[in-house]
Parts: sequence; C-alpha cells; structure tokens
Amino acid sequence: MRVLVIDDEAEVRSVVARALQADGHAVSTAVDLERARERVVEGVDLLVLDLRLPDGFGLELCRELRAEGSTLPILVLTALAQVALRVEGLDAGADDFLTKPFAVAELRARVRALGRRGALPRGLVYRRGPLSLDFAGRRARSGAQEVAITAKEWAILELLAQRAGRVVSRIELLEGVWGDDSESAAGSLEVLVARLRRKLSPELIRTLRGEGYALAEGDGRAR
Amino acid sequence: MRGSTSLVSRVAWGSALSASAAALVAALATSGFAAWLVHRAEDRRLEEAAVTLARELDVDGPRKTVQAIVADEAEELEHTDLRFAVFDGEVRLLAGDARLQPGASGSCVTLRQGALRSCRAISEGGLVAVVASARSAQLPLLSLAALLAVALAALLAVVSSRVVSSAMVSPLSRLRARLAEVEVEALSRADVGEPEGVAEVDALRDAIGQLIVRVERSLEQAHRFAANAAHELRTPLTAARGELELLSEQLAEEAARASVQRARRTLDGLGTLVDRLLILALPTRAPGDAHETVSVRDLLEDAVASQPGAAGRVRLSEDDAQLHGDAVLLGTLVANALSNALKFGRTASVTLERVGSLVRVCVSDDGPGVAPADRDRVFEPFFRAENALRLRLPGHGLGLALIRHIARAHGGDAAFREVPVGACLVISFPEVSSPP
Repeated sequence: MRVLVIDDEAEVRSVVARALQADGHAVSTAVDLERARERVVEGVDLLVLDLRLPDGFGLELCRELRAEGSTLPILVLTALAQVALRVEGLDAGADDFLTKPFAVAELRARVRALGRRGALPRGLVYRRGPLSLDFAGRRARSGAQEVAITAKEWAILELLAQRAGRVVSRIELLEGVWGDDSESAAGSLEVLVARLRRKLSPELIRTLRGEGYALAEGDGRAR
Repeated sequence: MRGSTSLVSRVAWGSALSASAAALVAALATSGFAAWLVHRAEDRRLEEAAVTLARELDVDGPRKTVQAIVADEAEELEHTDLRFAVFDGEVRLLAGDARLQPGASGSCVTLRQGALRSCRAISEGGLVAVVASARSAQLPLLSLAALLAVALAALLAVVSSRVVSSAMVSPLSRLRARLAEVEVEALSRADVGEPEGVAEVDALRDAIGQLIVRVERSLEQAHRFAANAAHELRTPLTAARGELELLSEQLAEEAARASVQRARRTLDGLGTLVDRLLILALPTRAPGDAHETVSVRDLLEDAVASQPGAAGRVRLSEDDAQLHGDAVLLGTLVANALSNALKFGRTASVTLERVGSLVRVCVSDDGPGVAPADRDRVFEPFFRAENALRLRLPGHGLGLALIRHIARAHGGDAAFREVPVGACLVISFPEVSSPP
C-alpha cells in the first residue's frame, strides 16, 4: 500500500515512515500541505496527516480531497483528543484519529485496519425500523433516543453496513478494526458484537458460525 | 464571614435610630411649645381677673370695704381655683389670701417653687390686685402623649426602615447574586449585569468586572503555558517511543531487548504524565457544545479490558447510564478511577446510583481507604497520600486531580465518601435525560 506521511516534525516523520516500511508499505513523506498535494496527485492509497502544519491546518487537505470526491482513507494525528476536534475532523472527512504521543505499534495497526476497510462510507445512513445510524455524523438513534456507540463499535458497524445483508468474515472485521487477528482482538470482537446487539437490537447482527457476521438489510439507503 | 452584620440591617438600624431621635426632639419641642401656649393662656386669664378686680376696687371702693369686694369676687368665682389678694402701695396685705405676694415687677410671677402663678393689676386708687392660681403641673397628659408618639414613631421606623433599606440596598444585592453565579471555570462568560444607575454600586460593578477580566487573562496564560509545554513534549516523546519500538524489533539479543523495553516503559510513563498535564491544562469548560453520547458501562468495560489483570478483580454492576461528553476524556477518567482503586485495593467494585438528574458512579475498593484529613487534598495535583508514599506506590499524584477535572468539565464532580472499609470514590455526572 502507498502511504503518504505528512508531518512537519522530522523525527516523527522519519520513525513513522520506517515503521510503516517495515510493514511492507511504500512510504512517501511531506512536510507541509503544498508538498502533500503534489504527492497525492502522484498517487497514494492512504494518508497519515498531522494537523499542525507550517502552511495550514491539516483538515484543509481533508476537505479539499473530499470535495473532489476522493475516497482516500485518512488517519489524522492530533495532539489534542478533544471531542470538538474529532467532530470537526469527521466533518472534514477524516476517517480515524490517533492522539500524540502514540505507540508506533498502534499507528501500524490503525494504518493496516484503515487500509483494509477503506474510507468512511460518507453520507451513508443505515435505517431499519426505529433505528438509524448516521456514519458521517457518528450519531446512532433508536427512535428519539440517542444511543452511545464507541469508536471501535462504529468501525464494526461501518464494515457491516457497507455490505448489509451479506456476510463479513471475522478476519475482515479483525483486520479492518484492530489491524490484526490476534486472540485478544478476536475476544474483543465478540464482546463488541454482543454489546451492539444489546444496545441496538438483538436481531440486528446475525452470527454465521465459522464464517462471520451479517448486518440485517436496512430499509433503504439514503444519501 | 463570621460576626459580620448585613448592610441592610446596618442601614435599617441607622435610619431607625436617627428617625427615633428626630421624633424625640420633635416631641420635646412640640410639648414645650404646647406648655408655653397653655401657660400664656393661663397668664392671660389671671391678668384679666386681676384687671377686673382692680376695676371693681375703683368702682365699688367708695361703697364697700376692700375685704367685702374681695369676698364678693371670691364668691363669684368660687367654682374656679382662683385666689385673690389686695395690697396697698406699701405692699401691705389689705384683704384676701395671705400666701400671695404682689410680685416685684412685671405683671405675672411664679410663687412657692412653681406651685402658684400670680398676676397683678394696679387700680387707679393705687391698690395692687393680685390673682393667683395653682400652676398646672408639667402637663402630664401632654408629655405622656408625646412619649407614646415617640415610641410609636420609633417602632414604625424600625419596621419600615428594614423594608426601605433592603429596597435601597437591592442594587447591591442584585450585583452580589450575579457575582455568586460567576463560575471560575467560565470567567469569559461572567456577567456582572447592566449598570444599576447607582453611582457607588456601578463603580463597584465596574471594578469587579475589570478584576474578572484580569483574573481570566492570567488564568488563560497559565493554561496556555501548560498546554504549550505539554504539547512541545509530545512530539519528541512520540519519536523516541517509536524509535525504541523499532529498535526492540530489530534486536536479536534478549538482554538488549529487555533493556529497550525498560526504556520504553519509562517513556510510556512520561507520555502518560504529559497526557495528564495536558488534560489538566484544558479549560474545565470546553468551549462549544460538541459532545458524544457515551455509555458508562462501555467505558467501564473498556477500562477493565485494557488494564492487565483487572478482569478478575473488578465487579461491575449491570446498570448503565448515558452521559454527554468527550468519550476520550471520560474513558481516561474511568480508567484512572479503576487503576487508582486497584492500586490500593485487591478488588474493586463499581455501582451506579441515581439522584435526581445526576448519575453517580461509585468506585469502591478494599484498600486502606483515605484519611479524613486527606479526603479533599487528594484531589490536588501532585498531592500524594501517606498510604501511597508508605507503600511506595508509583504515581505522580495526578490521577485524582484528573478525575475531578474531567468530571467538572462535564458538569459533575468527584469526592470520596465515608465508608467503614476501604475507599469509595463517587463521581457524579448529569445524566442524559431520556425523552419520554
């Protein structure tokens, strides 16, 4: 996978680049938005984007790309884990967030996961009976009641909703959400699926033994 | 403030006292004036009587003796308390009451220590006619009425001054009420209200407003400094941790890998410290109303899952509650609360309580508990309890400060509850009200 790392701090850029190269990715780097735009034109599959850049705010690039209709997966690095920033980031078109200082292992897992599941299904709203899942705004409602859904749960729902009615394998889910198929990730997947059934609806997610999970078909997709 | 009196009562007492004093002076002056008027009327009556007697001495003198004239007069005016006497030019008593004296000069004099008042008139024949009467005593009824009036006025003054002065002080009371609503966490939104139109109160209001602005500015500077410092530390930390991670993957030798792991753990600890400082430097009221709906049970389950060895030691209640807020910060709060409980106790349990619109998350452990004297201080940044120091437990003394800070930023609070065994940390939040 071709990954573009955009960060103005040389030390961080360098260590992230080497770590991703060790995972077999083709890594290019950029120190600012201008150079990042050039690299994107050359062709990349995933962006690792820092927000504080010398010539602007990282989310500007997200907005530009989404405005052009790009579905390039974007992982944003932030120094502040504030909800306001995450909401703004999601609106601007970011797909995942990692807070500095992060463990490089976590970054590698997130890049793998994001590479597997691709960019957020923008504009996708899943509806079934009283239930509605707004993926872009990350709001889940059951009737008038807002339902709390965690980031990992959203990632599972995203993968399932993109192929609603069809089976998504356990491996796909593990790699798309955790970036690995370790035992602890497998245990977490089961816990989170059980939780989603409890929160949303018991028959929403079907287990297909030995195969994976399937989300019940929605009432219709709305843009 | 101990021993302080309210401005309302001071103003009320002051004005009541001055009103009473004024009433007293007015009453004294009035009764004095009234007495003077009464005395003057009395004198006029006595003078008239003396003139009448003198005229009768002139008219009846040739026919009657002086004694007979006086006796007639006394008889005629028997129903009054008047006394009569007649003296000749040498002040010898010719007839009448021997106790009377003609008086040296002027027409009226007071005799016998004020008991008698006598007035005289001189007849054309040179006789001195003296008429006296008992002086009306100190006008007792009038004085009593005046005193009663003063007492009534004083009572009225006390009652009404309280009402009036609290109305006068009301601009000050309104200012005080608005200041009581000012939150230290949200100074920029502090509202000292519109000018009252009372010069002194408005001056006070302006002074307080300026003070608030200055305090806010210096707090903001302190926050910004801490945030910048922590932020600057994050970048090199991220890089150094990453390098060590890559290094440990490349090392074949077990001892070298272990050494790198130790360095990584140290850096992880430093990273946690920087994280906590950065969160503590966040303003307690995050601007804007961006929020997520977060489930307490999710937070607890995730915190237990992410802490090695926690799964068997923590008992979670089945209960759940929904909060509005920042999922990352709330997750940090819950993780800190659990790790704090497990640091001191062998096991921990978490229960949920609902009180009104608040949900309380109670994290209990079976550890040594918190000394009553420390119960509030443990929430101060860098405070380390006796127990933690004695047991040589790792930490910076930021965990509880962080918990309280995040709870308050979400409109809640954190405190230790008195329990017989162990410690019980209660974190309260406003619960998301479920629509009917």
